[in-house]
Amino acid sequence: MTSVRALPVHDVLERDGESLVLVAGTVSRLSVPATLVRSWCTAWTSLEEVTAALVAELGPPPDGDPREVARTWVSELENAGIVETRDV
Amino acid sequence: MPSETRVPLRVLDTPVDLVLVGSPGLRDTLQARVHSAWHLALRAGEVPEPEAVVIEVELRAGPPEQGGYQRASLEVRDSDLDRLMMRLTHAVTAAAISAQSGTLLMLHAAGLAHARSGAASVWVAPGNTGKSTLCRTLGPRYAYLSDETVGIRRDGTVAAYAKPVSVRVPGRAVKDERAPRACGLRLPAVPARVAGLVLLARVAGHEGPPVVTLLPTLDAVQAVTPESSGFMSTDRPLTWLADVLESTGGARQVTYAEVRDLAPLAADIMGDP
Repeated sequence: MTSVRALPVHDVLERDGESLVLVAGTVSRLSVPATLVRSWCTAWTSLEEVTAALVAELGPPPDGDPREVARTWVSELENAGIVETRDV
Repeated sequence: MPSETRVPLRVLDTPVDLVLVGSPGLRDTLQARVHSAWHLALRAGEVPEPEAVVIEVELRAGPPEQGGYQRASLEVRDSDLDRLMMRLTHAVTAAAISAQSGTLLMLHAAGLAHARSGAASVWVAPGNTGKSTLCRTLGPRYAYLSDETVGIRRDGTVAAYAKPVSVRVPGRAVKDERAPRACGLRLPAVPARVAGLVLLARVAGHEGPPVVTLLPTLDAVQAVTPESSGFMSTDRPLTWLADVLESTGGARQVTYAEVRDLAPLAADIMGDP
């Protein structure tokens, strides 16, 4: 099972659901779903919980499996150094 | 006769002592030029400040030297006076930015202010894209803060960097470090406070009056961040920058062809001169 946790960042600026995150000298712009995922994962959170929360907040994705969509968001955040994941 | 001459400056809230060394005759020549070019940044009273950054400057005899140099060096030497002045500006800029990283919000921008109210306009743009031209064109009707870097304090007031105006000379690699007074520039009579921030987008073929667009906060912060210095050393810099923008009505982006066309926008931000 995959779990997700937000990493410490230098600063975060949120407006209208989107955000800018400053980490390791780089400013990343996060969409509304990515901003939500980061905010929910202050402690280790399972991918299933992230998926359920995204569906509850934004509705089911118009195409694709909700879990795969959530995994894509998490993967992008991980590549930007904003979250970390572990398989347990 | 002393073996050095000290020229005390204050730039971006930073005391900087220029220590002029070398032969007395060349030192006198250098001192006259430095005093003239940096007249708005001279530290009043010449009171020694132990924490001042010291930059040693020498005008050498002989033919112009070849080779590179360190922009951030605390020693500047050259036998070409014009090039020495340009390199001195680079050294002072680097020293002040280094000293204020983490303290000031520093933006690569031209800064002008209303001479009596202190309402300041901050014109953000990369290097060599018109900041000095803007200061020389609009500045004489207002007051001068910088043609290079504007420092913003936590309380919204501006730390001036009233350096020489760096003017590109066609056909020359060395910029002319011109005394602000020679460009009709002076300091404001009261402390300057940010009243508006503009992102400059000069388009040579742009026709008609300037087009001004109000940027959403995230767009503006994202656009301004690359034109900042010491950002990562600053506590919550995204939030600070957003606070500055939102407390002054939001950042504007202006597309224009000629800087003189920006006079109405300058008046909109700072008030009529």
